Amino acid sequence: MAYWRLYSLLFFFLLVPAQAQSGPAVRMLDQATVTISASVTPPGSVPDAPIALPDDWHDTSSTLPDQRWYHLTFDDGGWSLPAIYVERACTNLEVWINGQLVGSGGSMVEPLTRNCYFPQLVRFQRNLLQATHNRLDIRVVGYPQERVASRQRAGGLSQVLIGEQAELALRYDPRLFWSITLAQVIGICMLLVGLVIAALGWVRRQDRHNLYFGLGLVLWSIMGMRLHVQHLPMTVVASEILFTALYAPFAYAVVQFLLHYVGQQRRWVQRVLMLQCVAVPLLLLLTPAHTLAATATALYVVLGCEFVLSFTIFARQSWRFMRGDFWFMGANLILLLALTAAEIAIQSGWLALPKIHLIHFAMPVISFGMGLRLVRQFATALSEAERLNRELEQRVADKTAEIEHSYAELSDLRAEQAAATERQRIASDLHDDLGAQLVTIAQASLYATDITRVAELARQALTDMRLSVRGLTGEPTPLPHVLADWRSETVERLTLAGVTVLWNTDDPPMHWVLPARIQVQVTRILREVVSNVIRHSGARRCWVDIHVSNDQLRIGVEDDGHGFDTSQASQGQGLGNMQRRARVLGGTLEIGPRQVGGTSIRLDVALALKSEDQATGSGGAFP
Amino acid sequence: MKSVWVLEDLPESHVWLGKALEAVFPGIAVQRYSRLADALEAARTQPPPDLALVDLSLPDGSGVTLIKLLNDLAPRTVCVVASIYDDDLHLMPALRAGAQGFLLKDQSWEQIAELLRGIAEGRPPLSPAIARRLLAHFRPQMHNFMTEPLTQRETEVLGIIAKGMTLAEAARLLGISSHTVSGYTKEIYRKLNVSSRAEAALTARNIGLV
Repeated sequence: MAYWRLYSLLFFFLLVPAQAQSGPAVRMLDQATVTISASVTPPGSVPDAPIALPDDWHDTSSTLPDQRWYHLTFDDGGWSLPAIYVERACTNLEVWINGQLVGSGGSMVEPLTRNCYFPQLVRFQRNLLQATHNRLDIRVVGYPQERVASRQRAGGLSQVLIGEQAELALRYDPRLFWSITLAQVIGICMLLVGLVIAALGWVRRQDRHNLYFGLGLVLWSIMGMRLHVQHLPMTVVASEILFTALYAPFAYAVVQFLLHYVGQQRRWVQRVLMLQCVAVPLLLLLTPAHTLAATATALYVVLGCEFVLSFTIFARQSWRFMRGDFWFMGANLILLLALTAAEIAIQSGWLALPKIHLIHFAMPVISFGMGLRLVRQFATALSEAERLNRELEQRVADKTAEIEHSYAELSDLRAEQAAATERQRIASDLHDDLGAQLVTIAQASLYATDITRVAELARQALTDMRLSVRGLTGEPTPLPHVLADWRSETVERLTLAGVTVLWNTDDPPMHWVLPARIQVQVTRILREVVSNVIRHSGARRCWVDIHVSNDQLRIGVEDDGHGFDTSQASQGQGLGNMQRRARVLGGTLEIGPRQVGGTSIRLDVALALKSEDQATGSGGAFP
Repeated sequence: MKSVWVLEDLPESHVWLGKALEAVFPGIAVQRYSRLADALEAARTQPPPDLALVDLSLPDGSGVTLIKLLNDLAPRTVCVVASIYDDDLHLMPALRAGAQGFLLKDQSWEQIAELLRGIAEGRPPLSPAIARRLLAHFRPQMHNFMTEPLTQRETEVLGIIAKGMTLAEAARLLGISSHTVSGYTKEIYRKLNVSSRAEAALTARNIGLV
């Protein structure tokens, strides 16, 4: 796996700085005398007690920040371009040679310039040097370990190297690169990666763990600013509290990430972690200044325990359900646990302070590995989703084709059925009407006394046939046209018979279309009614009222004739036919006497009117 | 009216129509044809009649062919469709070919006589369905250089008839005599025929016949 190569590369580089060897032109100074003094120039009197460098500060209950003057003595080594290299001077330093200030790390009063992680290379003129007993004064300001949250930021001074500037640069440059430049690059990368992964988690609620992972990376990159940000607008103690307090949200993110990753998130855990985010800063603010380090170490232990706990849950779940994740993530996390333990050990003083802030460099690499894994998971999920989507589209297309096919079959079937129904209707029309009429004609022509009756019957049969043919071939007709045809025929016939017609109809819109079936049947009924008026009523006047709504057709015909008795059997044939036709249409036909004399006929037919385009496109009775 | 041709394949209808003709035009010379080919031959070789009653569905073709031929050879001949169909689908081609009226063979001979008299006196029949067809034919957007447009009055008459009114009602509504209404009807038929002939001529030229 690519990650392992990455790791081995990292550890190889970690070993590199330790190999720096001392050339002959470099002299190491590791004996000094110390004066605790607030003086801004080298104090004159020098105490006798020498100490060995490196010197780590412990609480002295002095004024804050602590300031110590280190006095070192050296002889001229004959360097053409002399320089002093200080690997670590925390928090800041000034360098004086023979009473002359030759270099300063920055602000020596609060807010201090933070140089704990910055190596110092101070060049100076060789003409400042005497042959022997040159006096080197190093002024260091900082805080003892008890007052800062981390050993790395406790006040102190490492050994001092003096020698040829070019020689020292060989030590200074890699040290600066490893401590600062790399930390800056890593910090920026982690911030960006964290933001991206958090964004992924934010947009996809299902991948909430990504949000926490990204949040964790962002917080870590902010905390990492301790390493390389020299100027902060606050005292060292305040920044210590701030950065240490950030561990609480970091723990929140890590624990939540682990629990979400294996789907074991709990509401109460989240509440506790949030509470912790509030409680930790309060605790740090309230804790006595000289116990900050102890409090912070205790805090690291607590957070470490939370970490271990959530990791245990993670390991158990992933072992059960996500074996692949277990090995990869588990290995990373165990590495992280080991680093955390080491860090706690370092902070507690059980281990010597390493030259490199180990956790700050291992952490990003591990995080990157895990981040890459998460991104790969995301990409895999995305590809999977796309594949599923394609499959789904294919399935939808198949289904659509299938449905279209079924629909085509169904509509064919329906058209077939409609046609069959229509054929049956025409057949029954021919059989019932034309057949009956022809039978009547056949019989009447032999036995009827009135030959004109036969002719009339035949004519009527022809008229009916014409209508049947129209129904057979005709398209659905707009209602206004149907009404016009009815009016023309009715008025002409009645007028010829000497009956005055008073015609009254609605004016329906042109897009209302009457199905041919209804048109044919109602035309027949109306004809029969008119025939009855002409033949039997003896009326002088006839009123026709037709009202159309989109769900009903209502025709009323009244005459002022002498009326007739509906119970009379002789009228049976015609009336029976009309009743039958009305029934076929699902309508009603009422025949009765008119109150002021004459006959009143009313036909009601239910309609489901369609506009013309719908009617022709629907595969209705006459497709 | 002195001479009439009757193109009709049913002998009974010949008798029936003859009776009506005799009633309207006493002493008229009736020439009977029962096949389209015979009538077409006669139209080409013999002097044209004053009147022609033409059935549409004949054993050897459509009566419209004869109407068209007579219209070309003898514009003065009055052609009348005598058929068992009175719907616009059947009648429009005949009207376009130059028929000036139509009647139903199954009507009583008195009714037929009345219709014939009307046609002879310049009162051609007009049903709502045919009026609607005519209105569609003469719609402004259908106009081209061949179609002589209808006057406003002619359009009004068609509109009223299309609504199902009788000619008499149309006359009353427009405040004119029914004779004038008949004049308009006749004019509309003429324009229809003219435009049809122009179309036919154009079609013939397009396919290279002329």
